[in-house]
Amino acid sequence: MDKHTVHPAAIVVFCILFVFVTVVGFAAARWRKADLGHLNEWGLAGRKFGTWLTWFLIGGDIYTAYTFIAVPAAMFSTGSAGFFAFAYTTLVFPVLFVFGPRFWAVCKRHGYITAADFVQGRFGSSTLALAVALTGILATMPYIGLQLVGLKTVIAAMGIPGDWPIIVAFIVLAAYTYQSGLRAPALTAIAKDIAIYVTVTVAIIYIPIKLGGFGHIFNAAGSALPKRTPPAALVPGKSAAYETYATLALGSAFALFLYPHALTGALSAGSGHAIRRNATLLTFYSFALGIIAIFGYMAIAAHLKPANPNFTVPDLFIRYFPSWFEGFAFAAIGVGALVPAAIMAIAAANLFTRNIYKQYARPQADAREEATVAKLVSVLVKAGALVFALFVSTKSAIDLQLLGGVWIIQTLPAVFLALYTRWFHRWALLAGWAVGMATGTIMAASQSFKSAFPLSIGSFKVTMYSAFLAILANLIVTIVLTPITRRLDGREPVDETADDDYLDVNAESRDEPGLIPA
Amino acid sequence: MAAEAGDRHTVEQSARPARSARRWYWLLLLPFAALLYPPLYAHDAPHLFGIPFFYWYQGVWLILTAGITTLVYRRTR
Repeated sequence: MDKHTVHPAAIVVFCILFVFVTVVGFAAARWRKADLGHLNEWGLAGRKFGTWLTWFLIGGDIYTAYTFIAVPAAMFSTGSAGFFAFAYTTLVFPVLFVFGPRFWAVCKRHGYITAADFVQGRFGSSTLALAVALTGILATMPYIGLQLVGLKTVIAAMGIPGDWPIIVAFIVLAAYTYQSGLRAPALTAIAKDIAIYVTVTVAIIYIPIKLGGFGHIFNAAGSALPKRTPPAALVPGKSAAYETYATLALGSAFALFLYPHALTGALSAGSGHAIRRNATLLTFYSFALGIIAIFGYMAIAAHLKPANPNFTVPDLFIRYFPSWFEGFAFAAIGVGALVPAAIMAIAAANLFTRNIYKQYARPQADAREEATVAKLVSVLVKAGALVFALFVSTKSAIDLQLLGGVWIIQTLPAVFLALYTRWFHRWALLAGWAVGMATGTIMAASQSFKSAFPLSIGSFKVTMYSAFLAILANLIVTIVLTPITRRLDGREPVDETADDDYLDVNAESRDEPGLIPA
Repeated sequence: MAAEAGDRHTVEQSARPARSARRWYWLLLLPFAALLYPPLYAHDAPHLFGIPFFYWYQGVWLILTAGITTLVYRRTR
């Protein structure tokens, strides 16, 4: 199945769904009508989403097209090592449960739109806020690029050659995001998620029947994986594999909700309780992700030989689905690229507008000017991602995505930990951030962008996720330097937030009566 | 930035979560303990519907984690 022929029925179904989503995207501007000339409305949809809309939005946002392509691809070629994604998307929910509502509450109270806004208010340091904003933008760009890679993969699998389809897709996406803001991905996410759930349900029932059951699928994987180069395993067995698995799961769980697009999704919720309920409800997506991961083993059991691992899932669907359903499944993945790409572009645009443009170029900019700038920047960000997807190799895109994870976790002390403590000093946070960024980048680059780094200090040897080691370095520097820099600092800025600002039970928009604890 | 500062509610005294309720948050550490030491579950046997232990153990912990967050939510809201 190295060469993909044209699949007319699949293309027709794909196009119908695509047009439907486009119409929804443009119509979203009129849904819950408000003044989209205000950044709070364009960029956060007014912070009014209830539990279910938040569920669709965050689910559509963090379980991306690239996830659906990359996780099974990793299982197909590296076996159990790729399954850390499942453990990570389990652990991310306690993290969301603890930090999400506090972040939401303080941002609501002070009108913050980005994580860097919060850092600015908490520590009074525009330099630290700039570092957080730049890290967010830098980590997001390759992520958007990878969504395009996901879209390109399914379009190529239907036998359409060339780059023009993704250029068309992104002009359409840029136009409706410009017009509707965060309302567009929220509404299109509903269509995307329903399509994904239908696809996953059909595949998990139908394909194992065709392949002779789960026992056969795992047996086939168990005998094929050790013959891979480098050898892979059905169950990890070496201590290096354990360390990598655990630190990848832990590091990724803490990194995910520091990404601007994930925070933007959380901020659009109407209450802290909507976020807490989602910490439970979003596990449905993780369940789907676990099933999607096993698609990688189904491809092994079906003796598929994809042209490159990214074609694992597309080739599996082509093998087992009728052409029209294949088009439906690919549309689910394709729209699964557009939803997060839109939210990522909005989040990056919010960061640029609030923490770079307003802070450094036009302090007098009002909410209307902010919205205008953010709309334009969201188009620019997408154009950048398009150029990235067209001219940068997929390998470099994946490398940069790994670096994105290494970078974004460096904002953990200034953003998430600062929700609980103001003990850290701003200069120490900045120094820790710089050390984390530098060591993380060097570690990743030295391993030619594999996620694990073999650290040896004397007889102490571990192999761990480079982002995990880098955030440890960051934390050590921040903690050691804080007492020192605080002593050197004559006039530490005042914290504009108060303890009560972090308790969402006091904030507006309680969407359920009787929330006062018994 | 202080646009929302005026909408503080008057329920602050009663709405602050009680210290004892917040103890429930410690339960959220359980999934980390269960999943961050792979030697605990990196085994092939026993199988469940043909699925090796390594995989279904983590699946069970996804469900347990959802249960734990629900429990903590109910006890602390």
